[in-house]
Amino acid sequence: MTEGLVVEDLTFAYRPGAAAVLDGMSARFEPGTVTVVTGASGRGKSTLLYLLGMLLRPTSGRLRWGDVDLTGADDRTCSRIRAERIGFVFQDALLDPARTILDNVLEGGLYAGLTGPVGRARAHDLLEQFGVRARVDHRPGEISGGQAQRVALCRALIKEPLLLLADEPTGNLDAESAAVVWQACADTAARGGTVVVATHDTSRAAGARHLVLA
Amino acid sequence: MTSGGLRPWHLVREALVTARVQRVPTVVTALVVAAVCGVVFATTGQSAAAEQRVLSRLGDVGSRTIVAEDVSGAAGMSARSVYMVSRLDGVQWALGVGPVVDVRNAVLGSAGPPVPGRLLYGDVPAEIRVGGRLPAAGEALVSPGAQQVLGLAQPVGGVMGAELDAALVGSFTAVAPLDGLNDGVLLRGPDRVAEPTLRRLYVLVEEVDDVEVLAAATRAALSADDATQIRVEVSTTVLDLREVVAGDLGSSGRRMMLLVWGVGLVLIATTLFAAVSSRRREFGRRRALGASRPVIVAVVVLHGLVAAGIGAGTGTAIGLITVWRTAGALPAAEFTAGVAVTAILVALVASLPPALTAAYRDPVRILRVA
Repeated sequence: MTEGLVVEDLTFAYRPGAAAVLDGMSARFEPGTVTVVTGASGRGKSTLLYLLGMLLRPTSGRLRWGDVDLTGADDRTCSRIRAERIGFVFQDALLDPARTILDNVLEGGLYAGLTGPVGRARAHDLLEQFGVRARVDHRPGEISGGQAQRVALCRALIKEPLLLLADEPTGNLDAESAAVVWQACADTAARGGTVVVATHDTSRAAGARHLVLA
Repeated sequence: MTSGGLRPWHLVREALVTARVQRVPTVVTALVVAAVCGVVFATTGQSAAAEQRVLSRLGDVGSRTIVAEDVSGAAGMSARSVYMVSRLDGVQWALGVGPVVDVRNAVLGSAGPPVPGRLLYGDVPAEIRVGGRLPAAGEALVSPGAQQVLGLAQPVGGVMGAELDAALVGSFTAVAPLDGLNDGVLLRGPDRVAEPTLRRLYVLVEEVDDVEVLAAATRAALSADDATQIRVEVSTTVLDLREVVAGDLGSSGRRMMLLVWGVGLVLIATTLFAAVSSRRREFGRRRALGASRPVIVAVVVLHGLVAAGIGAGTGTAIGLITVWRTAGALPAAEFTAGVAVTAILVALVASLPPALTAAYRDPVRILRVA
């Protein structure tokens, strides 16, 4: 599944009979690209990310990754794909406050079986790369919001995902941390990954493909 | 990226890590399980210990004794019966006692006062405590009371009776079930004689549960001219009482235990539900990171089992100490192990509903409100 991610005639409503958040949307997300999804609040930016991450099922339409139709995939398949190929970054870093920074990063590879010395080495490399290695034994409550988001990026990237989904990842960050996040997205795309970012902040998204949800 | 997927030991490790980092749910669950174990020991444990104590008393020598008696003296019960019965599996010892005859101090002759003399057949059991040496055939032991009647300063000398003379080699004191022999002289008869000389055959059984079976076997193994004249007795009253005690204490204990475990199940489930509810963000995050529903169920259940294991161990230890201090006895090992295992099984059952709730909760709903 190294080909693009495709949604065709995608419709989604949170409840039967409710107004569709996404209505007949079609789009293609290619490897090696960063796609920035923009639009006013309530237009379905986050919903689209959750659909691409298979945390939601489309009300109708199709979701394909390469030749594989994932529209009706069962929970086990969806979970395995998320565990092995998809990295999530949320606006709130959503770290486990009870675990150390290192353990939080390691959890990103846990469900793919990326544990032990290999996982720890990779986690340390990423924490070094994103400038939070010194905080490895700290708890999330002991680091800043910008650092927490960098840790969340490490958690998403530890499994070298083919698809990186970021939901307002820079919404709460200072300029320096926001730049780090965008650079990580660009680097992931440069390695051949597919990156989809839902955001209001497009000022740093130079070179990204834009998808506007109206 | 290459991966081997999530392995069972990853789940166990994750459950241990979760138990360590989620200290409050772990400690609360462990405390509830420990409290339930403690209540079980404080209630049914006390009953079980009392039952154990009463049953062990009812299972003492008195209830393990079989007595075959030649009521009329015409049964012709052979001393060979001692040998036959003592060979039965489950028989601790068998002792034959001949008819009572008058014996006197050999020095005083027929002018001396008589005491009851009985011929013994079979090995002298521990219930006859001997001062001096064990008598050989043709030798005798005298009880302190009989020694006084016979006018003997020491339990030595000789005794005489109709058709028998014996040298005294020591004294004896018999305890139950042979304490009826304490009024006289015990003369050691020859082993394995065929003559019909027994009036009573005492049999001590190793396990009280085997008494009734061995009573029937004893009757079948007796060597006698007319076995219908022999009455075989067991302490049926004690045996019946034993069954009643076991039944009554056991059933009331079981009812109490069911009630306690039922309440414990609800308490543990409620605790785990509360723990799961306080960890909604965690499960939403896990799902987003790739945890499948079975993985969420496994993590919650294993975490519950780790906490329950800690609680069961602690509660069992405290419960045993409490029972020992209050009842002066410990419940049977099977009961103790059963409490600990049941606590863990109850925790397993109680953790399933919250585990399924966590697994099937919509992760997006959680993530959107996080």
